[in-house]
Amino acid sequence: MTAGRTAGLLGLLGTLGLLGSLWSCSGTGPPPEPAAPPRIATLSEVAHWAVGAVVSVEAVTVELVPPLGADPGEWQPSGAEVAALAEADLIVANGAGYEAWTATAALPAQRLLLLTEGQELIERAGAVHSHGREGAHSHGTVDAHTWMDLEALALSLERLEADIAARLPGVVVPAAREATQARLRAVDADWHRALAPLRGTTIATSHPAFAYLARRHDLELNELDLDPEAAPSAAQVAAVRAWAEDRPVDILWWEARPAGVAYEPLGGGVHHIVVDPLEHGPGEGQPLDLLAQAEGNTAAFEETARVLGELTPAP
Amino acid sequence: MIALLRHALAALRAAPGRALVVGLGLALSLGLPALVLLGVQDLAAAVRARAAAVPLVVGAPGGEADLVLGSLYYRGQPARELSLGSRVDLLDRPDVDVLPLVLGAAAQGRPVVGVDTGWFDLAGPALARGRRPGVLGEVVLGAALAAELGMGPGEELVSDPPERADFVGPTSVVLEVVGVLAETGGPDDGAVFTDLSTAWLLRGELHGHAEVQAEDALPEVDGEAGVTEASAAVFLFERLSPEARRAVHGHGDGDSLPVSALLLFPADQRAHDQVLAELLLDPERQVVRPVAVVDRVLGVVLAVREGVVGLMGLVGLGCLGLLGVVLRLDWRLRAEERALVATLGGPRWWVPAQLVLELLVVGAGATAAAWGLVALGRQVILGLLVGV
Repeated sequence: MTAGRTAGLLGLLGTLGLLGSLWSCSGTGPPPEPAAPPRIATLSEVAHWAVGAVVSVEAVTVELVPPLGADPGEWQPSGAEVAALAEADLIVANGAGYEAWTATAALPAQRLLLLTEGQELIERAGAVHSHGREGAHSHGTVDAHTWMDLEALALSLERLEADIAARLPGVVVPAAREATQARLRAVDADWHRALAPLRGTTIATSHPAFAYLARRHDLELNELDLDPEAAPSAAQVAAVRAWAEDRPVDILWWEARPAGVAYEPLGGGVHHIVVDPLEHGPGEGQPLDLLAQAEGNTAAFEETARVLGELTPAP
Repeated sequence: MIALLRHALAALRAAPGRALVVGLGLALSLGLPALVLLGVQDLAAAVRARAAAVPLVVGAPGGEADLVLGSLYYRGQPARELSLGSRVDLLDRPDVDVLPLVLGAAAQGRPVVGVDTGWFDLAGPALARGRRPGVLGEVVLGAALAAELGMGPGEELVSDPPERADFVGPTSVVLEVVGVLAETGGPDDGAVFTDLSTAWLLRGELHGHAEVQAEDALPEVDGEAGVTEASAAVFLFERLSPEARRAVHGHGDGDSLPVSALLLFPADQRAHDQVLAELLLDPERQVVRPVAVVDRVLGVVLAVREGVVGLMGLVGLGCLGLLGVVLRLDWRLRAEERALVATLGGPRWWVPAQLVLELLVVGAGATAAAWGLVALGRQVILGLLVGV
């Protein structure tokens, strides 16, 4: 091999070696860990469902804070659990007093979004009493079951999407929200059609969960306080019988399938129909599927209309 | 030289009263002006740093100084307050963080400051121990207050009853300490911090009681049929169990609850200028830049300081004059000593040199005392900021 070729070969090897070292040096160290996705904490199953309808689950972590099936009016987090909520990027609740504990909890107002923001709420009067210098007053509240007005719920999804997008860019999916809104409005139309024959008739309900439904669809309701799993008290039985007296058709909506001990004492003339208040999943441990469960209520309303039609005496 | 020093020290020991008086006069002449200069400078720097940490403060129209002193230094509270609802338009701005503040409550004589939980991220010191408050009745303590009370997470602190006496109004509430803040050397060290609802509870805007039943009620009053007036059988909660927390409520709309101030943290200069311009036009609210208010107050303080230092300077000159008189008298009194030294064959410079050494020793002691006075005094003055 000539000196020239040797020099050329050595030069080539040296250049390759230099390029190789540069290439290996350019990527020193382990690759950076991807940033954790933003976290949205939801304070009730309705809020959880709503957030799921507007965001991409790949882009954000959505975490339901209370245990599945817990009653938001009764469940109370510990101080440590509330303090941990301050770490969430956003917190979404239904509002209107549904998550009762939030009224006095230390939540960051700047990052708390309410589904009921801007909605016209139904107020309920409490017992009037007095103490101290402020005189007579009542601890009246607002009805929290706002999602039973499906049109209002559809509008709230739009506001929620805008609020989330303003704070967490890139996580909302407008197409998903639009599809959910379309389904909600379709179900709302089905409800309106199914409930039309009920206008002018007072329906009793076991639980004050249907006021927004009544307002939306021009219904009259008599709200009782009956537990589907427990026997009614004498006063409750008397209230039902007083309502049923002189009424041709007595229909009672239950928020869950009542046990025999709950409905048998009310008398055989009352027709019991289950209407899902859309607060929890259909079974224990099952998450709320609001749209599917709302679609199921259409059948309950049609059944109510059928019973009313069959049993209403002809004029 | 050593012998000269020994003579000088012996002379001082022989007349300790004179040395003490001269030393004290020198120490005060040096130390007091330095203390006023440096102490006020320290205080001004600390106060200004505190003010610079909060860009804007919003309150009800009224005294700017009261608003800033109350919201940043927890000294008193503004005479008028806003409502919680007054922040609604500001909450809609994603480029401004709004932190309401509720003053007016106290525990163990210390201010209890109700804050939004965001305060711990934007304005407050870090937590040294424990966690921030979560539910009603939980508090965190400033570092100096925790040390003074010997308290930490898990301890209990009793609130002071509010000033407005009402026999069915709130009494003291047992508060649970859940955290201690890191030391800052500022007013946060001497205060108690809690959430807004607890502050309202302590002030009496919220309260909790058992359901008022007929059997606990006073007889109905004519003309007030259906109104159930609670008797003393309906106890107001002092200890906040989960059941008691559920029962706490206010009368009226939550947005009507009072806030003493709103602390604003704009994201950038543009947001700062925009929100400032909008609020300056609002007749229902006043907005202040704490730095500007503090500078105006400090301007007065610094001007007074200059005057005080000037007066002290004159006093110092007077002290030096008196020292001169003392030295002259001392020289005259040592005429016999000078003659004796001359008789013994000592140099003419011996007594003057001894006098100078005595002066240097007393001067060194006075300087050390002045330095100690200034160091201690600066700590005391900065302690005024903490309030503990």
